[in-house]
Parts: sequence; C-alpha cells; structure tokens
Amino acid sequence: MRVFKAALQVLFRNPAYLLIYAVAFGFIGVAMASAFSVGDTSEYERAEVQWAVIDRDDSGISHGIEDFLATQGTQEEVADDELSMQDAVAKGTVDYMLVIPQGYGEQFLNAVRAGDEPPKMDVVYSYYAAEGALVDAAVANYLGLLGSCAILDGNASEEALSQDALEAASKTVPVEVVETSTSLNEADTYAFYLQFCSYGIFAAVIACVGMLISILSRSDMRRRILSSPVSYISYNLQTAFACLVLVVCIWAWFYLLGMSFFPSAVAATSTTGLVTEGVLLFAYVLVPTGVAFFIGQFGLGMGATNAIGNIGGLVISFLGGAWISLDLVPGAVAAFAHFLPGYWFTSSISAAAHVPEGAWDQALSALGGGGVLLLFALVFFLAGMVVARMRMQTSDAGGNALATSAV
Amino acid sequence: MLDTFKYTVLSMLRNKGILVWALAFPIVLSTCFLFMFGELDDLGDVEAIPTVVVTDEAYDDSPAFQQFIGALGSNSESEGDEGKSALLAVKYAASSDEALSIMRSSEGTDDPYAGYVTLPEAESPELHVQQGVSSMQSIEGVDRSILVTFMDTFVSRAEFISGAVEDNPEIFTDPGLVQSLFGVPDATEKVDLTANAPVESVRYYFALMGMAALFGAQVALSAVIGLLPNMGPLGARRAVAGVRHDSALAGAILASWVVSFVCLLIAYAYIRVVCGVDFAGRDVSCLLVLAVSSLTATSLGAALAVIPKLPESSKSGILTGVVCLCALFAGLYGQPTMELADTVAAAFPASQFVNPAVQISQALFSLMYYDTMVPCLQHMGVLIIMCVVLFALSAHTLRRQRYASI
Repeated sequence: MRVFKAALQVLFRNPAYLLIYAVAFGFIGVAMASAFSVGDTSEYERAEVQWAVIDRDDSGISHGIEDFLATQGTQEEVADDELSMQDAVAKGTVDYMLVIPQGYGEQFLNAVRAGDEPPKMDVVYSYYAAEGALVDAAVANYLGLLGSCAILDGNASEEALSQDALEAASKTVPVEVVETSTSLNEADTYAFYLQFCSYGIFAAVIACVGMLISILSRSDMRRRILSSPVSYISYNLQTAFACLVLVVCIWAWFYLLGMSFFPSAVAATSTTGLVTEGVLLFAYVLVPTGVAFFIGQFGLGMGATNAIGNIGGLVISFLGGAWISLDLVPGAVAAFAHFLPGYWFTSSISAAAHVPEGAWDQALSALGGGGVLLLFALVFFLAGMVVARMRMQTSDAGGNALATSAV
Repeated sequence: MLDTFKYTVLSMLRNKGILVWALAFPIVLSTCFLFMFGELDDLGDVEAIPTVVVTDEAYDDSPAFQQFIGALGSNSESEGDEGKSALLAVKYAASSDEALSIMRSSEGTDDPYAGYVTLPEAESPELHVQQGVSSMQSIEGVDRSILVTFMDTFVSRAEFISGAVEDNPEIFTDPGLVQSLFGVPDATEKVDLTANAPVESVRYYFALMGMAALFGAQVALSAVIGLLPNMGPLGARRAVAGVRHDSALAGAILASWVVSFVCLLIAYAYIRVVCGVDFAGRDVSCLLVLAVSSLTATSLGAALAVIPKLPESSKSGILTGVVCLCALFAGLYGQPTMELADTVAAAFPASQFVNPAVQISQALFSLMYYDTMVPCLQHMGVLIIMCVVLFALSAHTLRRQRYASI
C-alpha cells in the first residue's frame, strides 16, 4: 500500500484546493441556502417592491401619495440629485421611483375639478418593468379615487381628501391560495444547498484528483514506477483507491455539512428522500472524478487542471440550473442542458427532496438521473483509460514507440 | 530588461494553464452567458397576465364586472392585435372546478395561469392564486400581485361608488364625476434616468470581467516566481545571470501586465462584438479601466508570488481562493449571489473598497449607466491605491528575502 500512502500524502500536502473549493464553498453554500427560507406559502404575500418618491411638491396630496405607497412596499430614501437617482435605479435599490413635481397637488385638484386630464408625474422603473407596473397600477387607482373624492367634496383640504382616498383604496379583494404540485417546502432548502454546491464539488474533485494524477503521470515518475517491482495493476488500484478515499471524503463533507446546518430541512425530508439525495450526490461526485482521470492523462500542469475544474464547474452549474433556473433560459439552452451532468444532478435532487417515506418507486425515478450521472462518469473513465494506454506506448513514456524509434 | 520582457511574454504565451485562466475562462463563460441570458432581460416586461374568469350566473348578472374584465383583457382563445396590449389574457371557465383544472394543467408550462376569479356575490369578486415561493421574488409572484391589484381596483371602486350613491343618489348627473369614478387616470409617464436602461444580464458580464481581470494575476504569479532563486532551477540560473535583479523584475512585471491586458482586451472585444454588450459605446474609457484592472491583477500576482516558504501550487491555490471569493461578492455565481452581493454592499459599503472584482465591475457599470465619469474615476482610484499597496508589499518582501549564500 505504499503507492496509496504516497498518493494520500500528495493530496494532504497540497490542501489549498480542498480548502478553497470544498471547505470555503461548502460554507458559502450554507450561507446561500440559509437565505432560501421557504416560509409559509399558504398565505398570499404581495410581491416585495422597493419604492422611492422624489417629492418636490411637499403638499398634502404628495404626502398622501407617499402614505399610500407605504402600503404597497418598502420605502427607500433617495436624495433629489441626478447621481443619487441614477444610482438607485441602476443598482436596483428601488424598483419604482416616482417624481412628484412642484405644484403637482394644486394642479391635480384643479384639473380633476375642471373635468380635465390630471397632470402626469415622471416615473422610473428599475430592472424589471413588471414590478414598476405593479406599483404604478396601484398608484393610478389611488389617484382615481383621490380625484373622485375631490369632485365629491370641493371644499375639503388636501389632507382630508388624501385620507378619504387612502381609506377607499384600503378595500381589497379576498385572496385564497391554491396549493400546486410545483410548490416548494422546507425540504427544498437542503436540496438548494446541494445544488448550489455543485460548482464547489466539481472544482474540488477535479483540482485535487487532477493534481494527484498529473503528479503521478509525470514522465520521470512513470519511468520509475514502470521499472519498480510494483505491478502496474497494483499501482493503478492503489492510485484509484486513494482517489476514492478523497472522493468519499468530499462527498461526506458536503452531504453532512448541509445536514448539520439545516436540521429542519432534513426533518422535512423523508429518510427515503435523504438516502436518494446521498446516492445522487455520490453519483455526481464520480463525474468530476472521471473528468479528472481523463484530463490527468494529458499531462497538464496543476494550473491547467485547476482552471479546467473551475471553468467546467461554473459552466455545469450555470447550465445545470443550479444558479439560474432553467425556466428563465431559452428553450434551446434548456434542451442542451440535458447533455450536461449538472442538469441531471439538479433536477434529480429536486425530485428526491419530495419523495415520500417508503415511496421507492418515486425514489427510483429520481435515481434515474443518478444513472445518467454514472454513465457520464463511465464515459470519461473509459476515455481516460484509452488515452492512458496510448500514452504508455509513446516514446516519451518509454513505450513501444521508443523501441521503434531506436530501431 | 527588454530581453526579460520578450522572453517572459513568450514563456507566458506558451503556458497552457495561464492561457486557460486569462483567455479561455472569460470567453467560455461569456459564451455560456450569451446563450443563457438571451431571454432573461425580457422576463420583467409587462405582458398580459394569464387569468381564468369563472362565468357563472353571478358573473352574468354583473355587467359592471364583465365590462371591467373586458377592459382589462381579451379572450386568449381569440388572439388578435387587441390581445397584445391587454393587461390580462383571459380564459373563461363555466365553473370554479373547471377554472381550477385549467390552472392546475398550466403548472410548469411557460405561461402558467396566475389565478382564477369568481364572483360569489354581486360586485364582490374573490381571487384564487397559485401558491408562491416566498423566499425569492419570482416573475410569477409579481404577476399574481398585479392581478390582485387589478381586482383591488374593482373592489375599492365598487365600494366607493356604492357609498357615494347612498350619500347622494344624484351623483351620476355629473359627467366629470362619472368619468372619474369609472376611469383610471393616466397619471404617470415612464422616463429613463440612466444613460442606458438597466439590464440584469449585463451585471453578470461586468462581474465576469472582474473575475477574468483578477485571474490575469496568474501571469504575474508565474513570471515573478520564475525570478525567485529558491523556487526552481530557472530562478537560480537567473539569479546568477548578468542582469540586474530590479530590471529583471521590472521586465517580468511589465510583460505580465501586457499579457494579462491583451488577454483582457480579447475578452472585452468578444463580449463587445459577439455577446452584444455595448458598454454604452465608451470604448476608450473601458480600455482605461481594463488597463488599470490588469495592472491591479499583476500587483496581486506579484504580491502572492513573493510570499516566502510556500510552494507554487499553494500560491496558485491561494490566488484561486482570493479570486473566487472576490467574484462571489461581485455576484458572479448566479441570482442568489447577486442578491447577496447587493445585500452586503448595502449593509457594509466599506467591504466593496477591499474587493478588486467589485471595483472593476462597478467601474464598468458606472460607464454604462452614469452620465458623469466621476464614479468610474473613483473606482479606478481605489484600484490604483490597491495596486500601489500590493506593489509596495511585494518590493518590501523581496528586499527582505535572503537566499542561501556562501
């Protein structure tokens, strides 16, 4: 077992990648999933909107508009200067910014009482027009009611009219929430954590296993190993065993870290679901192992291996729907995602989180994605073995090609 | 120095690992963004909200509600020009059960029904909406809220009118009041404050440029390590060569900066031309930002390279860790981290001043959205300060370093 021990020593003497990708990104995954509180979705909750008012009128009407907006979302203070206003909109600090011009209240009352169109206020939406439109629709209704109040009572003060309009606008429709099959629950927090960590897992395994294989695959090292009394099969088995130990450690780390931080999510997941998630996670961990084995055969340096792991992890996590829902991407991209392991991991984990206790038929359905992941791993392992065999025969490695060139 | 510069550039260009980090990384990821974010920016646009309306007896007996629904939407079964500007895409169902069935069957499709409306009592509608996800603001969640706001409008108007009629039955003789009671005023006008309309996907490209620029530090890391006598035979040979150490160092750093800047320029050109991010047409200013960014990355690589008693792999690992963490707080890793970045920036503004990835992405962001150059110059100033501090640290450590001597 000397090769096995040496391989483990190589791994533990270079802990940087393990600390960055496994430890740091494990905790980052925990932090991200902590923000993913599902909460009570049985009650209707209005979409959270941040709004700001630039009040240049400072009248009873403009104050009434602010009072009404306070019932529609969260107010953000924005200074009345161009840079602050641009900053708030460009950074998305506010979703809806209303600019009430000077003299607006008086002009509004005069216009509605005379039967004319009321004056317009400038409004700015931030990134999503729908959020701005939501508040704008409510403001339009409020101003309509305010105008009606003003016509009905021609002598009322601006403050009194605003109060009447605010009261009239407070009448709302009763809303019942209908439960759907796509609804999320507490169990999805742990699933989200695992999905978010898909990048860290992929990069950690490739960087560490790739580093080990690239070190052991150096030509001088190969020559020494080939001339040593250790059989090639024994050497390969011991190397593979060291990789397996590392992979199991990474699997257990990510699996248990999430469990320890999200006990309520674990409690909300059935034992069958947790076992399924564990199996799927292990199948996923084997994919970067296969990729690392494959690229390790090309004799790339540690920097290049690390770069491939990092970039591959980013691409697989993005295209797998771990960081951005595939519902938001074009159909062709979502279809292409089926050809990448990230999609099978994220979709299977989501399904596994909702498997009821003892429902092994549903668990098997989720594990189908795990089967695809194993196939990905197998393809890379086989490709790596072919490359390794070809490399053994090169002159650089002292194989048959060297003998041919010598002749 | 010129020879050092020339051969450092050549050796860096022949280093596969460095080219992958500095060149392949931004191009691969921006290609990924190009395909993924094609529709992301259109998601927040206002479109007709799919809604089911139950047309039972109560609905038939309420012409006011029928007119209200008719004004808001068009029947989605007969799409025409009218449907494009409609606020609701209405589908009619004979009963609540049928409406529920229609809503459930739309789950998971591209256009799920936000909810269905019933009218149990005259002028008192009830709304049944799909269950939402409270942890994240979804487009469906906003659609549901807009639908609720429309129904709130009807309910508040209906109650207001009935109260007003009770007080004064003759109010309908005033045409101005009637128009005010039944119409919703066009009270606002949408304007743009920023030089370009805010676009969500562009933020990812800026964060990517920040990370790509910092990964350029690998060039300086490798070049400076190649100068250190205790880090390998190359450094040992160069230490006894007839080139002054400071001029060799200057040549290596200059070469690293040039290589990382050129790689960043290629990435910028790719994002500009292929991905279609126009950077507000301020190309010269962008080049200046990229030049300062790559210089900061070079200083970071040099500072890490001179850390004593650490092997190259550990230094490279530390650099990867630093860059990944900086990119995380710049919001590169998807929607959740973008929200985290915004939260951290709002809660601890000072944290942005120590994160070069945020400074780089914010400098590009400022060029895109602000009329004035002042915010961009501020971010560049912070980058230059970082650069000076890191170069000073490198110089100090190198001067203090003692190697094996006779």
